Amino acid sequence: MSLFGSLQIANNALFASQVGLQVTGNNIANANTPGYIRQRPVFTPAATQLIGNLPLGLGVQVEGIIQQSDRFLADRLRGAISDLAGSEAQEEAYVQLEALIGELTNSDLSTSLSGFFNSINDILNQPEDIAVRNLAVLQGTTLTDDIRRMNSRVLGVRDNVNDQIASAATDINRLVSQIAKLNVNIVQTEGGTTRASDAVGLRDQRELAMAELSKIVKIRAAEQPNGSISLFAGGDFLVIGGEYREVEVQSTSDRGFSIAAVHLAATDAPLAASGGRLAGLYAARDEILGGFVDDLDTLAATLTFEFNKIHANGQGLTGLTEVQSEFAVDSASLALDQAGLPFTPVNGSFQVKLLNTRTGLTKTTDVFVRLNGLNSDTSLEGLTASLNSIDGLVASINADRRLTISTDASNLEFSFGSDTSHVLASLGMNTFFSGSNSRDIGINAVVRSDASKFAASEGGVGEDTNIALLLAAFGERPLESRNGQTLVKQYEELVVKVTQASAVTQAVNEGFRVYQQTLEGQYLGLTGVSIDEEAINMIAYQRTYQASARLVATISELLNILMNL
Amino acid sequence: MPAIYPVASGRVTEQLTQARLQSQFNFDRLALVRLQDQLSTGIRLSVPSADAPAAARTITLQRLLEQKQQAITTVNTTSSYVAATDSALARVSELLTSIRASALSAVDSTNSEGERRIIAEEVNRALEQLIDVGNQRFRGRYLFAGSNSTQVPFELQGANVVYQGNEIDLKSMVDADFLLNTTVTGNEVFGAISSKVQGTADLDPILTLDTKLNSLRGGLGITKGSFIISDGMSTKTIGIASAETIGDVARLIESNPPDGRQITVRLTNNALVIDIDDAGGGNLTVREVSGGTTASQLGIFNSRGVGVEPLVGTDVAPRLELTTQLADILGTRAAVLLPSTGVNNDIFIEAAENGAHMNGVVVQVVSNGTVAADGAVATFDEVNRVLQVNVNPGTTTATTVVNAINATGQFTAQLDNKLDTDNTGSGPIQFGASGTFAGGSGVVFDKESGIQIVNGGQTHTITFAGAETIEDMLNLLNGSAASVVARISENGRGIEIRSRLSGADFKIGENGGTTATELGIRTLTRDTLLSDLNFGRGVDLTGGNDALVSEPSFIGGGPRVDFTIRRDGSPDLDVDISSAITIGDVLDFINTHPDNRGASPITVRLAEFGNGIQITDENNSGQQSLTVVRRDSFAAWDLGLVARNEDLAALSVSVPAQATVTFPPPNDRNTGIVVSATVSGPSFNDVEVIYRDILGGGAATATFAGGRLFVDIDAGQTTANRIIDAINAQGTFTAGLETSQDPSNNGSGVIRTTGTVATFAGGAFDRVQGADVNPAETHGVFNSLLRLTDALANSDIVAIGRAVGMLDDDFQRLTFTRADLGARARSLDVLGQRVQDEDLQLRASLSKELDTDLVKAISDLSARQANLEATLRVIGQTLQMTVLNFL
Repeated sequence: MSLFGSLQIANNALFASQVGLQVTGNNIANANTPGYIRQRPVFTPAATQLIGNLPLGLGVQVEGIIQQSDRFLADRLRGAISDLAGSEAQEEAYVQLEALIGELTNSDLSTSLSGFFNSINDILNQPEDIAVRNLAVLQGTTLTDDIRRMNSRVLGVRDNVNDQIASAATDINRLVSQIAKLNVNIVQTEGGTTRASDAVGLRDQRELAMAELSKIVKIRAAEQPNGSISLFAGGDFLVIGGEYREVEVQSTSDRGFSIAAVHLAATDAPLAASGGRLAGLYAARDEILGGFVDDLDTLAATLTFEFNKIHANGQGLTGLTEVQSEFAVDSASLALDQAGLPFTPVNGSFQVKLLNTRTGLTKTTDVFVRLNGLNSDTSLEGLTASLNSIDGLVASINADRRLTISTDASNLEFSFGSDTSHVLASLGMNTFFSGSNSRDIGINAVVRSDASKFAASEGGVGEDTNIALLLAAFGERPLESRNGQTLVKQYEELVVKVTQASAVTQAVNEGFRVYQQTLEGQYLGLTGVSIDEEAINMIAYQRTYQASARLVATISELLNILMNL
Repeated sequence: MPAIYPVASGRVTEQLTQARLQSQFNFDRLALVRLQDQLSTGIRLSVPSADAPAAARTITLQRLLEQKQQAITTVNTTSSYVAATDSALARVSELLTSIRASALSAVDSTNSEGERRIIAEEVNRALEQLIDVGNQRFRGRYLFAGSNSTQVPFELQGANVVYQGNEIDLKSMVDADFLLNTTVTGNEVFGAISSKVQGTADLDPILTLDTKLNSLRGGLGITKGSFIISDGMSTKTIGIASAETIGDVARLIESNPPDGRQITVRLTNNALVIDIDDAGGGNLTVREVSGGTTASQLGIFNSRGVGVEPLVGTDVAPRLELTTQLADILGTRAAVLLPSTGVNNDIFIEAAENGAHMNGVVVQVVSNGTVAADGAVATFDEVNRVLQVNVNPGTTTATTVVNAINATGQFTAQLDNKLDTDNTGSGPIQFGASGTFAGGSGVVFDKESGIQIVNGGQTHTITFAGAETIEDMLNLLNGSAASVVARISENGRGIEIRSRLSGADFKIGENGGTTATELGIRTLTRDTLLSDLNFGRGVDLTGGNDALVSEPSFIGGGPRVDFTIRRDGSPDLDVDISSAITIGDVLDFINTHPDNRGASPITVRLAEFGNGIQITDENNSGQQSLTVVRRDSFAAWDLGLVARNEDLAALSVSVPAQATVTFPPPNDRNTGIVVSATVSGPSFNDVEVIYRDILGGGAATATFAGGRLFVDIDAGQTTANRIIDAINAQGTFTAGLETSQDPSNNGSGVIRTTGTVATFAGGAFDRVQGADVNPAETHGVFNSLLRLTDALANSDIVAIGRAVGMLDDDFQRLTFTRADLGARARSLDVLGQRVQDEDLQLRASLSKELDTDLVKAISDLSARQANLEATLRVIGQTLQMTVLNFL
């Protein structure tokens, strides 16, 4: 062992301290850099030299600089980010949906419903007043407008969500290509050694990109021995080494709308999105918003068909002179329950009442609609023939396969009653509502243009108000087709379903957020920079440096002494 | 609330500190914004999901509130109608009170005619005022028109008042599930429609394939459940939920037979018949499905079984509907199914008319080589009661046989689709096939004759010749000028007719046939109680009223009798009807009177035209001495045989039957003739006059044979004068020129028309036509007043008394109606209050759910504010703390 040897030890120590300071400086500089992972120099004692029987240390050597990270924690954090992002996307949809429904305010659908049924109550109060009937028709218009508006606004939100899904593909492509490039760079930088985290800055970037990707789609990461990372979504790989797969947007059709889905361009398979914002957007679009539109459609269909079933049995203040069925059949020779009508008629009959306005006398005829599936079921042609056989009535099927009924004399008016076959409501004759879902629900043109056709009476034109009684209480009437549920309850269920699902999603979201923040806390605790810690380190390096420099000075003095001998 | 999440163990780094502080800060700000929102809007829930259960409750509460708002509106509107009605009723009550007081004074016979005239004038004025009140309008509604509220309800029609409203009440939903009548009809207040002339006859509509299930069981309908049909080996459950008609049920049963079996379902006139094929044996049973009642309701429940015999169900009692065919009432046509082996050859044959007369007739198919290929000749032998169809062996098809049977006119045949689905009729008929008609019953409804309705002093003859359905018949009645309301009676077995006219007698009788009797709507029938006659005054009888014994007899001496019938050459009939209960008893007394025997008894029956007792003397001696003499009681008056205040009945003398032959333009000039029988009486009624073109040279001959008058002529040549000569020459009839339609008739016109040109009618014997003494009337205010006016004009004290009595009834009815209306007004008041209370309570509940609790919100706000301040302070301090300060 020589003095020069000792000098070398001091030299190493000086170097190590400088490196330490540099790393500390780097850490301090990046204390606020997002995604930055704290670095730490690794010092090891240099090999010992056996001089005589004395093992003498050779000082310190800098083994390397490593990142202070936990791969498993990072994995879990990414998972939590995916879950949170997915749930947040759903929560956003619910927030918007709840705002659209606007329940608890005075402009919601339930108010329109109540207003409509209340206006029918007013018809009961003043059946002779045509203005009151007109008001009921206007209230009905408000109600149907509200339903249609809700439908179109929800569809608007759905469109927006759909656009977000389409744009997610661009982000995914950008991120996977970036990660693939970083993979290559990291492997090159680290030279394929197992010593982790040589390419520290690159790894930070990659970690950041992966976190961003996790936000969009839930991924599984597997670090390879050479330092590159393979990414999988479901069973499909997105990135392996420098290779990556691009995704593309494909359009399919759902509920009559074009919807976007993210597919892997190479295999054409849909990208498995079990979590992340993409999955959340899918759920928001298809289940939350789509499901709501489905429910709204069911509500509109129930309202239309069930209400019309009653209304079609009634007569207004004046009879009808000409009506055309609203719905066309697929073929006039098909049995009516197979003819593609939006609502299906059943075996039964209805009455046609022909009123002679000159004498005030009515002639009733039974029209049978045979739909028992056993023999010669009634088709639109058969129905037309039955109607034509009634003296004074002319029925025909026009070019677009709709039924037209009119009278052949100016003093004749007709009306309907006792329809157990629901064929009138199915064809859309003598109905109040038109349409069959929340997109096209409206008011029948006949009633809209002449409120006196509002069918309040059961026993003949302007005779009584028995039908209006049923209609006024319709909202609270248990419906067989809904297993005894009332329309009002159906609507409330629709709203409560959204409300509760929204509340549940918010709670779940909160859970995800807490979990994500907890993990992030841990992660930041591990990877983040503590200025205090760095300051302490800095002082330690400084002191080591001072001590080592002192050592050099001491050795120098010793050498001086030697020289001066 | 901000979530609490654990502090990571181990190190605390700058970023961790920042992230945590930031999130803490965020939570605080968010909470503050929420609280600010609550405070500024006053609403606790910004979105429903903020408190989902409360939101659900809120939605319900809001809906209930909206309903209550409507209920308040309805109660207010309804109250206004009820109040207006009540004040109108008060006015009616006032008027009636004053009239009654005046009328009561008129009952006193000492009043002079002048005084009565003054009272009559008063009554007339009151009548006008009452009509005015009856036609009162409020908020665009005629208060007393029923649901026909835009129609003026009361109209003065001649001397009578007619009601144009109806009896349907308008109802309002004053609260959930609480319907309240908002009107009282003119009938309830004034008594504007007569008590019903209830059809006493059961029209007994028959069951057809198109009979709806809901009109069975008298209108109760059938529960559309399931039942089980079994042959003892295999079982089938048949659900009839989709069935609308009995025909649907039949089809459902036929299409679901027990495995390997064939079932046919037929209808009798009122029941289902289920028949299983005999070949498979077994025991046919029909059972319910676990406690159901469908099979029982259909009348086919039979758990013991019928073997392979037909299971004949019990009466399912179809109800009369508007659309019931008139051909399907009052009986059934005998029918038989003529099955042949093979397909497309089963035939169903029905008698042309209702009735039992064709039951037991045998139909036989006989092979006859003389019949042409695919030919058939059907003949009906009335004596041996056989319908024989001669067919060509092997070639005659079912369609040919159907046509041949239809050609007989007494039967209608059609191809049967029951066993032989899609029967085209092209199959050969099996000779030797036979069957027996059965199931015929009842009578053919006489719709041609029609009825006579007397109302408001006018006689209206209404015939139903063109009517096909019950509704057609009701329309003819309702649309007639007779001011009647006709409808199906509540039990669905017949029709009932009521009058809308006040102030007049309302009578229904025959028009020469049996229509009214069959419909059971005669006002006077054999079953009418004598005590009901003359508006319930009954019939004065010798045995029943001793006071009358002192009355001077018209014919002195002898036992006391009610009246005497005098006639040609035979002894007088002294009639004592003191033991009679009904009109029928009176008729029977006379018809079976010991003195009314011998060659030409008189016959007594209810009038053929109109109503009343009709006495006919068929002795054509021409003395025309039939009469009824009132004796020791007023029975002859009270039975309507002798006009009131008269002692002898008016006689309508015998007339011969007459036929008028006229032709439409251009053959209407100088061609008409009138033919009369040479003897009086109805025997020549319905004789047809038939012109036959079989002669030449303008000749004419007349023959009377088989109940028809044949006039053989040379069409286009023979003149009316030649025909007159020919008929007169024949001797049974006398003929002359028709001059009422063609005053310048000289008989020179040439006859060009042949066939049946006229029918004799109107021939009658001497008869005394009694009046209908059981008229109905409208029991009501207007009737009472109009009757009172009449009685005052006639100074008829009895009638005045009756009118006053009726006014009392009116008063009672009015009081009852007012009480009812008062009760409604009270319940509206109570309801109005209750609805208001409920409204308030709902608002309170809603407020609890929805409104911000200000105290809580403000204190929360302060707490949150403090939190935020603390957070800010902590952020400031934490971020300042660093070891660097101490180095």
